Amino acid sequence: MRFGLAILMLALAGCAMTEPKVAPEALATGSVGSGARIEEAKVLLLPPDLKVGEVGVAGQFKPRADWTEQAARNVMAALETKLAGRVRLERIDEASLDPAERADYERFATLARAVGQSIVAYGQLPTRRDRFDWSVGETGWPLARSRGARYALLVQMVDTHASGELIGLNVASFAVAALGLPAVIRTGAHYGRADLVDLETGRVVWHNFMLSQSPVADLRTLSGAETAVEALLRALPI
Amino acid sequence: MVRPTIGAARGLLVALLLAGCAGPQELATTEAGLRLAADEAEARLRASGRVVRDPELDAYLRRVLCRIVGERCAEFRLYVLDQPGFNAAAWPNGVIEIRKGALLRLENEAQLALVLGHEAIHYQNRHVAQLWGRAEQAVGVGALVGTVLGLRPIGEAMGVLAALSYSRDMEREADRLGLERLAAAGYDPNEAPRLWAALLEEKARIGDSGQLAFLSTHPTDAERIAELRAGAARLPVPVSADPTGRAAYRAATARRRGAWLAAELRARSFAASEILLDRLRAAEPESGELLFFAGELRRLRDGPGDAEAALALYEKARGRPDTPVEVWRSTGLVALRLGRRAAAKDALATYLARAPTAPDRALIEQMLEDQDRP
Repeated sequence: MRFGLAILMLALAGCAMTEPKVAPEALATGSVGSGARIEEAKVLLLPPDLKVGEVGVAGQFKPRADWTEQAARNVMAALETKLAGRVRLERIDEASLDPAERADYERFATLARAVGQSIVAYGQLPTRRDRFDWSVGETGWPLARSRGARYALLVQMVDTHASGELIGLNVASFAVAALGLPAVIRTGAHYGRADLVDLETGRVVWHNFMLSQSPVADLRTLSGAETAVEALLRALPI
Repeated sequence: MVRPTIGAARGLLVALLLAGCAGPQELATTEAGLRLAADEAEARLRASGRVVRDPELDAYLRRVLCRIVGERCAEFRLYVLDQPGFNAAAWPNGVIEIRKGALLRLENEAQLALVLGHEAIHYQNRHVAQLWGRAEQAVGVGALVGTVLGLRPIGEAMGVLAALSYSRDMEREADRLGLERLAAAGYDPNEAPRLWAALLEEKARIGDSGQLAFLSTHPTDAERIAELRAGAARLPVPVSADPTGRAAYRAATARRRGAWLAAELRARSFAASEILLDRLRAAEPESGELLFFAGELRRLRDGPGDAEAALALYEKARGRPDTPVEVWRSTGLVALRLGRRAAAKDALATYLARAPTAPDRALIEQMLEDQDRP
């Protein structure tokens, strides 16, 4: 919730897009760690962490299950199209995991998500800006090992759309503003985050983040999801 | 010239707002979204360290839940949170969370059933989704009026306040139905007002009674107790050997209570903990465990006279069958504080003799060595 609020506050501040971050030693030689070339290693694609919903009149976020399900299908399809042929990809399907694997998966996903969100929140601090050395720790991840994967790709997107009431109120707000009275305009926003984690070392080897207030990518449509994935994964080193 | 423009804008908005008003379809959409958000939060809760993992306790809580909600109990997932203080909550996806600090404050199974039943009603009667829908409507109207007047933030705030009164109505409904279910499941309904009165006393003592009634999400305490008393008086008290289930509750929680009490004292809300301990001791005056923790409260608070009081309580506690062995360590630590070296060494040595595998053995040995230095 608090994180959602931060996104909305950032959204109100306008549009932000940082340069993708790359851990230098990961890509300087085109190989990583034990020498496996990055494009030859198997990449585990975690189910995208998606939230699609409405922004109400008071700026409150209202998740929509139907839109989120639609977006999950669209984003997954867009990711597979984008990565097809470039990498050996393996999807994780949460429903097929046994309870132990599921607990293991949830622990890893929660940790990696917290690290990725920390990069967004703190990566631009003066003490961190020139040092891209984030890690989820060398805790290992049995599920990844059993599948022979070297990397995990995590994608998070939050897509919000003005509700009908908000659009109506915005129209009224324009009218009020035209009369010279103070008025508030609120809109939806798009937030995206992607992290590539080296499962052997725990290092986050690549990270990107985007925030936009203009409706460039509506995840409810396949073409919108493709635009969003294209923008987020530009310069992905695989 | 100004007026017609505002009038037109208002007309447009009223039309838009009415078009978006919550029908059954809207409620279902809201509920699906809330369920999705709650499912995600539940996955994070499961992966967090905040949940107490205790299969035996979970099984007992589930048995009580099923007795109070009947066949629909399969829809619920129960989590005990590793947190002191009294609280329980129902999520819109069937999660019921209850703090271990709440389990510590319940005296019997009837009170547990009351709390679980109350939360189950919030879920079964879709209170969160209803509240959300009503809050959206109220905030929408507030924002509309506020915009037209050029005071939108104030309008929105008024909408939120209006929505809070719905929340109070839902609490009343959960209280009323919870009481009926309690009696129907064969528990003594008089335990409902008893529990709330005990919690109110604790709350009053820590200076939390001055909240503004119109801001609160729950009915005022006095009102709530009065309604529960009147409700309970109309219901039959079941005829059985133990209509409150006190023995069953004690049996299920006895082995865990020491750890819960220790966690409660670590929160350092000593005024509230003192009321709690007094209440528990009134029901079990012979308990060595409760005497020990009453001493611990004084040792940790360390106010005027607390050290002496702690020593007196430890002395009474020693030798009772349910007193934890740590009573010797605490006796030694307090004696050290008072400068009574010989007594302190004696008590600490007894602690090590009786708890040879104590995790803090090295620390205590070091303390004993330090006492031998000139």
